[in-house]
Amino acid sequence: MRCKYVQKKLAAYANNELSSFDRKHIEEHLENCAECRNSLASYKLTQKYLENLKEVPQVPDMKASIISNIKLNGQLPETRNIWKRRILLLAPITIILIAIVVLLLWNPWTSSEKAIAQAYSAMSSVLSYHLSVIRGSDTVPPEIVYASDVVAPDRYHITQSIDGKAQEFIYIGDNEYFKGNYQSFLSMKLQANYYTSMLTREATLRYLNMLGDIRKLEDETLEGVVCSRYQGRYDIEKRLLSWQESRRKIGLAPFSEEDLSEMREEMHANYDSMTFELWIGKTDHLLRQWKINKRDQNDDNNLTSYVIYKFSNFNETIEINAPTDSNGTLLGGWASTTPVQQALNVEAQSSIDDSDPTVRQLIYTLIIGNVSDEPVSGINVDVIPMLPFYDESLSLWIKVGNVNQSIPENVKPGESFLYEVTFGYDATRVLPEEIEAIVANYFIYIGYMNANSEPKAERSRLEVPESVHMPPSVPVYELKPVGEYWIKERGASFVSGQVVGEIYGKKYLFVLVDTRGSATPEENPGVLILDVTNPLKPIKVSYLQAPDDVTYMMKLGFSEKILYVFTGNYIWIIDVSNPAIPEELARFTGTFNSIVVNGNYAFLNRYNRITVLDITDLAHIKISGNLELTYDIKGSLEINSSYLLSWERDRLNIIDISSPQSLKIINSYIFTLPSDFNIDSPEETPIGTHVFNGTLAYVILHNEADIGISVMDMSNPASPRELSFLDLNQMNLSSLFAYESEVYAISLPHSGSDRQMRLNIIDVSDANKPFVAAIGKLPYYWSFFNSGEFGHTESFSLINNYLYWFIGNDSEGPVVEIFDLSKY
Amino acid sequence: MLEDFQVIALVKNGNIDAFGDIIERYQKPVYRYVYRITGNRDVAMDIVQETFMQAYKGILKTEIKVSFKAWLYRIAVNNVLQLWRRKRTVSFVPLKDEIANGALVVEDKSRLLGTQLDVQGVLAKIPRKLRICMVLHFVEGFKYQEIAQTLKISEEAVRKRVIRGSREFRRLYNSQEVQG
Repeated sequence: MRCKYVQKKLAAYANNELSSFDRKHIEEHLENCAECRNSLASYKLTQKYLENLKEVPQVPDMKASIISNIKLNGQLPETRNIWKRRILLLAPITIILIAIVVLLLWNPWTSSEKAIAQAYSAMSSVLSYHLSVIRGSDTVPPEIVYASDVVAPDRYHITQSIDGKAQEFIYIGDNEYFKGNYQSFLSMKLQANYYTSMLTREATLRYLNMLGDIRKLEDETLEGVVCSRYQGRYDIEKRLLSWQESRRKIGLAPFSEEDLSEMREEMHANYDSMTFELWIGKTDHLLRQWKINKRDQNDDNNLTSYVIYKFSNFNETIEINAPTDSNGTLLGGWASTTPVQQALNVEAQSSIDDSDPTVRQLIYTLIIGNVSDEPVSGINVDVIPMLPFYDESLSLWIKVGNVNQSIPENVKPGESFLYEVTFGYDATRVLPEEIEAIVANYFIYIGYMNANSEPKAERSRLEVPESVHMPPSVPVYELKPVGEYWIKERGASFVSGQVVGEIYGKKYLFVLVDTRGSATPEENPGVLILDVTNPLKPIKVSYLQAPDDVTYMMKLGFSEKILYVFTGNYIWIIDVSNPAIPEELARFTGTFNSIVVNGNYAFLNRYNRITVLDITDLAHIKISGNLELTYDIKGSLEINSSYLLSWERDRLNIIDISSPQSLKIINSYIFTLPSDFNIDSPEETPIGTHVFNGTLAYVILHNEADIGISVMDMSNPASPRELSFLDLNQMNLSSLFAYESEVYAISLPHSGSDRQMRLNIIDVSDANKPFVAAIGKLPYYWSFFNSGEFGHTESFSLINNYLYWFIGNDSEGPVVEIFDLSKY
Repeated sequence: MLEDFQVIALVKNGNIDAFGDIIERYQKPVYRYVYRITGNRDVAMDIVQETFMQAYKGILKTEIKVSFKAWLYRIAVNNVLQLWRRKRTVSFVPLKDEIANGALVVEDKSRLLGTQLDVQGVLAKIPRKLRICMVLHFVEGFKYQEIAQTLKISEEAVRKRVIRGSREFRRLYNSQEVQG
């Protein structure tokens, strides 16, 4: 099945609006396709969170005012005037934002430690400065809408006017004072820090670098400082390139041409009307002035408005004092968020979960308690970076939230609540010094209302434990392919199934080549037979194209030199005793998921039904029995000794097949499930894939929160026994393979933006104590191609200890990348 | 309670007060919709006012060929787009004052989820075209076909935008790019 089709039905699938037939098909596809699973998970997650946006606080009733407006005016006011008014109201903040956004988006730093350090160092090179932001246009005289005085290390005085209303903020250390609107005081300080970080030579270069079509204008002297002056436009192509680059870095497939042109269009709409001018000090190379001109194309008069950022008074003495009189009493109109007495105590405990060092988690559990004798209410906890920095390439993520409960509305004296902050990062890439710098840059900011309904705020920092320096607890390797095989059959777009079989001592890989969605003209799909006796160098033996009535093939079964191909409508039975000349033997009408053969009987499954076929004469196949189970059968049926095994939702059924006409379940082994598993929902299936190795079976068990591998002793096939359970927290396991004393599990990290697939090598030499012995990172699936759309990127086979990775691509054809696992 | 088309007939016949029913019925969802895509209450208020004024004028002047709901939302979307075009701001950054509002004043439930994820803040970082479709679908409960009608684009385009937006949402959510 093709991704496009599945994506089309994804919403309907997520909302349970599909027929069971469609659902089944989609589930089959999802099992093999990380991209579609990612889309589904994204859809569900977004749905879950956006549900909460349905509630909107305080919707004012506008009926009366609209109706009276209609009645009063008779005629409606011109729309344009309304927007003019709106623009005037919003202008200061809006225009400032443009600049911030433009600057924020541009961060070529490679190390965030360095980025943060540089931003902080700006504060030491410039000990104090004044900034004014001036706005005006052809018709409106210049007006100062924002002004700040900053004195290192932590004194700020900021004034801003919005809607003609002045706001004033003073920050001295942790003390915050405000006049007028208090609501934005936190972001005002962060914004000021951001401006400060503009005052380094590196930053100057950065701003120059984001401009295209640069012209050098004549030098200009600003307040006695000779400045070089440059003019340019926002370089959209450069920006798009750097976006592509950062996507590559974090392992996301680059934007397609279609995406790029859409983004390009939007950026042109945003930036084409703007020009940027920079004034840079000739001797210190620091930014002195920054101007954005914006032409309003919708305005008949071609009005140009502008905003100027003017930095001055570097290292001059600037006094910033608390707005209090000599007795310490606040001056008129001023208020402070600093509580008279500390109300909240924050106790932080940290721990590290390094079970997967590539998603190491530094977890802080905060106990936030009210230590005052008055209740506090309206608590809001924020985890905020002191200096904004933006480095996607780190694959760092931060999860903040309370544990198992929401933050209480009110906290009475003596009461407390828990709050958790987790920094997740790839410990094989992010240095301990970097994570230290990152964590130190964050602070916990707790806002609340005191008993007098005054806004108050308290803050605390997080200590970084020594243990971030510990080396990865499991060795991590970057896996490199040792060989590859390009499937160049006509129209080949991806591999939808594969099975390994032995014929006369030679090892063969039978590969279902799918052609749906191919960029070349549509061909019938086919079966490719590769000789993999030397796994490093697969050799094509033959290719058999499917008959015209077959549009796609779902799965393969192999038994006794016979290949069973499950097409949508029938089983295509092929004699491969001479793999060079495969021959069709028969077609048996019906849709099934898997087949297993035992003597003259074949056992097939579909949904919750097992069908027994008498295959003594392949040309005249007869149905000889049926068995219905409670839930759908998971994966393939198997034969173990003289028993048939079927995996179903939460159990393994052992079926007596001594009389194929009447199958009997002789035992149902029910797996022990985590207590939080929702057993009432038939949609949930805790059993994932499984693999056999001798008398042992390895079974993936999962719920929404946990995942792990159960090791089963199958030496007495009639009564399986669990020997151990390996918890693999944080992983999203798909394929599972076993070879000698190792089990290989393919996974995708759950968190962060990291999309690199992992191969977890599990040592099972002691079945009672399995452990992850090493983690291999597979290359990014898109790195083997130059272009095209990807599908079925998560299809694997194990041949001895060589891993075959099949990656679908609609324009360059699928590839098989071969990895030698004995090296790790 | 009259159906939309019945109320519209009344309005067309000169009954201004009947238009009050329309306002009562839709002001909350339209406000919510505009607020969620712009992230700014003042803007949302203005746009809702403007949208209903234009709707009134439109009812008198034109024949509404699609569902009234889709038609009304289309006016609202156009107003938002017009505002964005005029302001020429970049799409994926929420207005600062609104973020700060949440820093201390706890009034918006979306900031108080179990994970304390600032849903509105994350949403604001998603490109506008995608964001519009996401809010219509997930918040307003529009089917793809209704969104296609509202935005005059193909269902295929709607589907793509919702999925792409969701993936972007998940990515941002996972990396929680908390920034000042």
